[in-house]
Amino acid sequence: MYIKVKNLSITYYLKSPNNGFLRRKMLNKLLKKEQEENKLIYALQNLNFELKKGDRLGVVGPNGSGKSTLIKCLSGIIFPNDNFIIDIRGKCLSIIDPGTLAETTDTILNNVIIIGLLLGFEKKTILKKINGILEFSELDDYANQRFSTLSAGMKLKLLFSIVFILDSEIFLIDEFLTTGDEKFRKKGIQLLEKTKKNSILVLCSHDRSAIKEFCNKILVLNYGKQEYFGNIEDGYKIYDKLMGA
Amino acid sequence: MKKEVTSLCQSLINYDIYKELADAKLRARYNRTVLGPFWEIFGSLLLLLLLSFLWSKLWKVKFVDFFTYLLIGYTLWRTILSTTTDACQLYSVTYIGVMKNVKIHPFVLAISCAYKNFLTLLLNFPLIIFVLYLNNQLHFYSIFFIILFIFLFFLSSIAASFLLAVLCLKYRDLEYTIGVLLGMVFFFTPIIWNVDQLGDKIFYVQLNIFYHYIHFFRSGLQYGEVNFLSIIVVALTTTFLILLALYVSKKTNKKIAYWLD
Repeated sequence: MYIKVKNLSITYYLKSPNNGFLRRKMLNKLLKKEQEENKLIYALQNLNFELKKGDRLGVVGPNGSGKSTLIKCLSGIIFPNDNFIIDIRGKCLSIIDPGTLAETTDTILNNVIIIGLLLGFEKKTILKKINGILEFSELDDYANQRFSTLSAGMKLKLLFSIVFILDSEIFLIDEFLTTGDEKFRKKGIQLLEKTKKNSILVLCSHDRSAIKEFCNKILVLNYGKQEYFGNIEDGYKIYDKLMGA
Repeated sequence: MKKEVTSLCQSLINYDIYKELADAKLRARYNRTVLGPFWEIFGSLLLLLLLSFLWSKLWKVKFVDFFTYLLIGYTLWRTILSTTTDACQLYSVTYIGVMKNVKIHPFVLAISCAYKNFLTLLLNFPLIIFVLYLNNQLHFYSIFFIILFIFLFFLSSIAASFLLAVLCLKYRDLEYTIGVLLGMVFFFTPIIWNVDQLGDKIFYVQLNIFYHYIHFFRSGLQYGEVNFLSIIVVALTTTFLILLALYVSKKTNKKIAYWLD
């Protein structure tokens, strides 16, 4: 089980709202206005790192530094530019915003199945573990209630339980770990500790304590550039410099 | 193209996911209603009864004959219409959250769209068979034609859903254009009027692909025989749509994620 990333870059043109529409183009021609140039965005620039079994990488950086783009790229949701290497061995699970996968008018039970399927698990696996998920999220008495009746915190608890009870080898997580009340948080940490040795975790977060608690490596990004990859303490020194702290 | 064919086949085999997605959308659509999807049947049944009564008097045809003709044609048209409408918003609205957050082949979502509307079409079958029985028009050979039709129609729906979803994601005006066009196509397709009324000008309606789909479905069910031309047109259209969907998938696969906003 490993993740190898070499020369990972993503650039794309951000269309100006004044150029994108046909009606605007026609109007610009008519009024003899010059077209605005589309802006070239460097979302990620030449990232290189390797992770092996048991590694837990914290990805940090200011807003817009490319953290979510990196997770989407590793998950195969978006495609990088040419001449890159992303070599991933192991069953991969990406958790970016699992709440958007839910059918809010449907029952909690059905949502566990739908979200599980969308995350790439087989139905029989989900059905086998469905009681465990509901029990862990403390929602076993509400399985037939609508998902929309849950509070924001309870929804996160359910989603956390789906993701970690169904289990995987590689977890790619964007700002989704420190969730629920104190009791649930303890349960969650225990669950994560259990899987620590047998998995790889990539966690994007602004939460310094979560990174320090869960990770053993850090990747500092700034405007898509890799500023640092290595141990947590040195990484945060560089991060603090970047943030002017 | 081999990769695209594999993706389509794998998506088709992955029955659990598109079935659950389709079921969830159906449950969401009829959330807290008593009749649920049966509203699809009862809603149009009343309208069709009224129209059949009126037009059977105007055109001096038997009520039962005209009602059967209208029911079968209109049922398929509604499926075509709802598939098209759903497909136009499939990636840009309905599943935008899914496409932004998980790795899923766009074919899976197109299949779930086609499957959901296909289920609604199947719900209408008991009523159609009952009306055919009353009209003494149940034929043994209808089974073969309907199985063939359902197969071709389902494949066409998947390919058309994918193509429309991708095009409407890239070109947002297209959704509204298609809505306007479908409104016109409805009147140019023999759904509420009989093709025999055209006499020797039938050639013009044969240029309309939707006519062949409706004719295949209606004639197969009602008479147990289908014009050879319509079978060929539907089969060729299905093949063309599938090939086009595979080609578009190949060309747009890496770009779709950047069009989601």
